[in-house]
Amino acid sequence: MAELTAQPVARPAGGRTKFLVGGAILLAAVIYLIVTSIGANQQYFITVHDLKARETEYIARKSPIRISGAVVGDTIKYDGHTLSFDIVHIPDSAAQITDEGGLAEVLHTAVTSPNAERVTIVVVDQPKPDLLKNEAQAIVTGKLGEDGDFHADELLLKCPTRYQEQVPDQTGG
Amino acid sequence: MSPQLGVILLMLALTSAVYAFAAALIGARRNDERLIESARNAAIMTWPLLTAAALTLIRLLVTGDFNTAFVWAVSDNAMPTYLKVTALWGGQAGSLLFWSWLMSTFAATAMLRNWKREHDLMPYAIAAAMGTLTFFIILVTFWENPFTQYFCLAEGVQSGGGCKSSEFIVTAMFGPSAFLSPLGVWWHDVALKLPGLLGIVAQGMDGLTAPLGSQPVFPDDGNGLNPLLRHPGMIIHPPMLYLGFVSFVIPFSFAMAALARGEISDSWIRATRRWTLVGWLFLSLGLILGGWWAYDVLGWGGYWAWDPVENAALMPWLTGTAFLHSVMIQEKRGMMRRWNMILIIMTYLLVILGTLMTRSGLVSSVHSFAQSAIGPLFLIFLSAALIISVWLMARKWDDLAGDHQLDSLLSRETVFLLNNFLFVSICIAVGIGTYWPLVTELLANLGVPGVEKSSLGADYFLRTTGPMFLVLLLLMGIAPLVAWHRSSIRRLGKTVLIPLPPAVGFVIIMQLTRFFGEAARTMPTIAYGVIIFTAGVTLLEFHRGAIARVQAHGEHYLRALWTLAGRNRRRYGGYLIHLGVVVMATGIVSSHIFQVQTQKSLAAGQTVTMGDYVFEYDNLERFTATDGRGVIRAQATVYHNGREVAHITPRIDLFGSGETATIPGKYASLTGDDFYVVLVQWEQLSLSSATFKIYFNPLVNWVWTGGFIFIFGTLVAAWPDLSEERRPVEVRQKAGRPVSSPAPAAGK
Repeated sequence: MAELTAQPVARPAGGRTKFLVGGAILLAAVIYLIVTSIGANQQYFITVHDLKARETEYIARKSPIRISGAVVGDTIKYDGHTLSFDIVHIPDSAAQITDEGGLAEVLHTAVTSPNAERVTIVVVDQPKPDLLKNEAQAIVTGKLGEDGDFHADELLLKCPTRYQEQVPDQTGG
Repeated sequence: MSPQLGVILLMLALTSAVYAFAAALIGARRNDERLIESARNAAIMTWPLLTAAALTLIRLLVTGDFNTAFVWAVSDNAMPTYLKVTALWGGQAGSLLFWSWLMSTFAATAMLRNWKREHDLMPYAIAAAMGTLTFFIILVTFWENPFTQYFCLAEGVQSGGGCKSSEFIVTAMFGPSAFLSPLGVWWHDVALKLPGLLGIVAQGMDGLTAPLGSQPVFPDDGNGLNPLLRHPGMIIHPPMLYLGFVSFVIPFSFAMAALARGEISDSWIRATRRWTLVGWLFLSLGLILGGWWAYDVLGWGGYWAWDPVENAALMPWLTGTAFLHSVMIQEKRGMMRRWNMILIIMTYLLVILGTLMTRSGLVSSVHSFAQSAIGPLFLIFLSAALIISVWLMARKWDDLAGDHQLDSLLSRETVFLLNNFLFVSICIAVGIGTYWPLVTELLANLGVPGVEKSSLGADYFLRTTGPMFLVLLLLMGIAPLVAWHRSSIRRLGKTVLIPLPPAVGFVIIMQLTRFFGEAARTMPTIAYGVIIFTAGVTLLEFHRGAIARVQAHGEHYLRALWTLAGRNRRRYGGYLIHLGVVVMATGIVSSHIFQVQTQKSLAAGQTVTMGDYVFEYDNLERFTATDGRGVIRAQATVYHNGREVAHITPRIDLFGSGETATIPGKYASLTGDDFYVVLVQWEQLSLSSATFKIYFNPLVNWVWTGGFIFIFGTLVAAWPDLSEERRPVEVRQKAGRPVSSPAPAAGK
């Protein structure tokens, strides 16, 4: 860099080249950074059904996977260290959820249906989230263990009823 | 005041905005001065109308008019008055009204302030600002109207008053009308039959009039505000973000005006310099306050989670920061005109996208709200804005060519260019990570082979943005040393000489002594080295400027510092911001890399040791607070090196609605470390044992201190300076003469 700038007058043509080369190197570096990071951190969305159907394949998989399902309230257990609960299958396509009456309806149907496919989620040493309750949607990232339980590192919950358009119950007056 | 008044005010504001938009465009076409003035007046008129609408809603909130659906949804009788007022932005409809009001405030201010000076740009600036405002008022009037009321359908009305059950309750803007109600029923039927997006949009419209025979419903009490939002940080955080979002609309409007007008001088940059800074100030403040709220209330030991909504607010900040730097090149050297245009367009689109993200469940997020019709509407508006701005730019592409070319690889211009490249790259990386699930789902649905819907974890963001932020931090140290036009390593050498050895020495010693433990901590060590270097350079800049004044004017050192910053606000405000960033970076790196956490179940009197700290659990109590919430509170003591330093009370609040809030107990050391304890679980019956999650967050409070310096620096840079506007020549001379640094004054 020192030699280049030491020249008293840089010719426009030569000046352009060095900027183009420098820019190309930088761009390549950034693209490399993004592409490799995507490769290392991609988490696939999987439904409970997919997970059950290809269980052995997912047990062997090294990268974390992400499943989503409806929380069954009765199964929530927490002893201060281990949090466990079951989730049941819900469809993953937004269109299908809309067709079946919206997320709240889909979650309710899933939890109340007796033979829905389910998987047990196990989370260790994490607080019990405030939103973890019956018929919440859980989005869980982690790995499927050989015991068939899903060992989660990250737990995200959505309660559609919370944001649903609610109407007052008490209507006196 | 009744909710109907609010609806009427909204409709009047909408008429005003639409008229202003059309009159400004036609006036500019015909060069009709009277029409343009009329457009301006109509644009300014939106402000009193929207102010009155917002006040109407506040009044309804404060008086507890639970007939109004929005009031019922976000407030209740037990809430203190200030919370009832701030409940204005506690829900979607109110937030959008508040957004529109801010937008109108800023537009009116810009028109009054810049009317004479930027007269030629005005008509198109009015059109761009009013076009945006029209979109928001349309949303707030027809889709997210905060003034709709509850009605009970005729078949549900009980003889003694009241409604049989909630199934019979509907919302509408006005009561039944013999003429309009059947029309409403017809529209409802049509909307149900419309396919796809069109159907969602049509069904999402708020009813105008209630069906015939229905009766208004007056609930006794409201639903109440989400308990997690009852925190000072959360009360200020949304308005700050909105202020930031909205202020960027003004520079965008002037940029569009410059393009439409075909007058590609740099006057739009001058006209909007302060707006950009103000927007940036509020956006920064919003981001910092959001982090503080998350840290203080959510009880997960962190402050930034790369959540889609957080990212959506970060992205316009990144492009806005790039813009703030690159306009200096345009002002100084007449270069980068196209690039600045692209940056301001990007920032505007990201602002609209950011508003959409916070207001819809586009990407699953802890913040996400109900999916509603406004998503598709936003996308339509965004596409229109994108097409129009790209078209305007394409038309003037050749006129936007720069006056100069870059001369040297080492010059202030090149450093700024690199800064811009990095900010935009970070923005793109964050954007990819945020929208990855959407894009992969779309591609998978289209049947692209090998693509499955996936998302990118938090590590993706750290791996991509971390190194780029680090290089930016280094550039921040180098930039003030590099001269405009061209510089050389040799000239740079002298100024680097002082801060470089301590920085490099620090890295080497830390690595050799394995100070940060056996695990290779190369990246954080290098980060600390860069921090030392950049802090050194920035402080030296202040010092040298002050010394020069001391020698030239015989002033006292501190007074010299004061005058220096006062005389050249933009430059030294900028350096203060850099110092703030350095302090924040120290906090972020330390608390991220060296955080320690553990989770333990303890019986009363038991302790946990963590480094120099001992945590002792004393007891647990359960009581009902005066506002009706149940509280489970742990009493605990923190010891540091055997000495009792704090008594903390992590607690869980239980609200009547069945919701809970986990509030951590914290002890901050003098050096800025936090001992942060969350009550995780307690024994229902005995209250004797409890489980705690304990975090030790080293230097985390530096993040907030740095944020404070950062905001203070922005205020210094943005504060109106009359002398600067009136006597630019004199200021330039004074600032230029005494400074011995090889770099001429930045940005002057």
